[in-house]
Amino acid sequence: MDKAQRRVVVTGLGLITPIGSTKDDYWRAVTNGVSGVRELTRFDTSAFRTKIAATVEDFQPEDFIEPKKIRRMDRFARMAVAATAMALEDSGLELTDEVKRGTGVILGSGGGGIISHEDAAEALFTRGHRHVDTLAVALVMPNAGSSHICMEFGFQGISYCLSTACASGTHAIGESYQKIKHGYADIMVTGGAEAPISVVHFTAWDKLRAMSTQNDVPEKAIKPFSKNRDGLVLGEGAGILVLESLEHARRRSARVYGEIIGYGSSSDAYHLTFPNLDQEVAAIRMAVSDAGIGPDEIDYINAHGTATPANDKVETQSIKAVFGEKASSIPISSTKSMIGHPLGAAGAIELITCLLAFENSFIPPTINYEVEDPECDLDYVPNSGRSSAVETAMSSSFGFGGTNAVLIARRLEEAGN
Amino acid sequence: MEEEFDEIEGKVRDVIKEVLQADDSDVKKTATIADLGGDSLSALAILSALEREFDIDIPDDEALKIDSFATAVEVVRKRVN
Repeated sequence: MDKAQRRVVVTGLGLITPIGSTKDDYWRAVTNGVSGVRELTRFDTSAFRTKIAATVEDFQPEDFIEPKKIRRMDRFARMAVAATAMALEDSGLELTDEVKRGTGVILGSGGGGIISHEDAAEALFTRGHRHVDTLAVALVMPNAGSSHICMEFGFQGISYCLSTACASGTHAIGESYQKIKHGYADIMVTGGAEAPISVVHFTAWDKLRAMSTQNDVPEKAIKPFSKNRDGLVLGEGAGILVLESLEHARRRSARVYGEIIGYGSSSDAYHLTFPNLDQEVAAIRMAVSDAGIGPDEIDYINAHGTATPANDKVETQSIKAVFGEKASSIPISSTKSMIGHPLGAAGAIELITCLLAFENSFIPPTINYEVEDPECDLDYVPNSGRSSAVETAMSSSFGFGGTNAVLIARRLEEAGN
Repeated sequence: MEEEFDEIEGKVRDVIKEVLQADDSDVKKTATIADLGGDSLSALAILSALEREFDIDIPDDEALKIDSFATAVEVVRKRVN
């Protein structure tokens, strides 16, 4: 295989989100500022500080997966497989034996089969040994997502899961981009999937005091970069992208959403949950350098933007540190203001948002922006999206454990398409 | 000289000792969580242990104040009495 550096493009998108589970539904919602946050009714929340979540209500796994197989998959894996089915259909990629042999899968997930783990524990502790699912091991394992994608579609290339908390999806896409760039694969199916809304896991987030307590007005709860922000809201979903070498995409005259041109990653080596300015800056600079562009060429940033007091402040500082005076003229938006925080799926859904911004020449808003914060004083595209050509976009993810990942994508010129 | 601890102070001291794995003699009335080797995550763990020990709910604005033995006692006292 040719190990010379190759260009990497995105040719297929699939997603499942609390505000839409097709590309078109999602884009309509995200451009119109629709919130996916609602009262959480999946379990009793009376003891919790936070009683809201961004849940996916319209996902029907049987539309994508045989009933027998559905029972062998955790919700996160079902979402991963379904989003992959949509991404592959969108790509128009014909799954020949040659394509199947060479296609790799790297899937990000912060928690893997959390719900199945809790189901097994609940069965054991409350009903006893006889009641634990015989397939619990395979339901829970974090690589179930990537493995089910491979089994469902016959992909026989490299396959693994990657878990870096809230940065998982971004890391997965970045690692897949490098696989193609350096000649180890022609096609990669990648992104993230997460279904973390189960009672013990939700309790753990509640104890961490990182979630918003705006229980009375769920749709207004997530307020990134606004001074009255009071935390994130847990979400769920999946975002899957089909990546190909530009040559491969051109050979089959594929539709190209954009080119991935830069990836940077760093570790804080600092704190379990608190962000670190220096290493966020390092990851952004690494991505800009990998892209071979000047910082002044970025014309849209899809922020990590969780709406926790610490994240939004430090993220603003990191953007200023890298982009200097230009920082205030770059539109920045937080997709999480609408979809909540689907942890390992977030970065993938957010990069998809950047690619759809290229296609539609439209920048989605940060909703629920209400009160100016002197520590967050950039252009967050408050409350209303705007029509604007976007050529080069950056998407950042910063995870617990100090995992930072940044991707830069660019619209492919028509002439070269 | 031994410091005198009332009932609430004694329980708060035990909670802090347990969470930070500190010695009895280190948890003085003037001790801060940082003095005892703790950080922001230790403060969160102490907060949660205090809620459990005293069966109280401590809201976020009060929670942020807890950075020492004295502030912990103050926040608890307001809710127990």
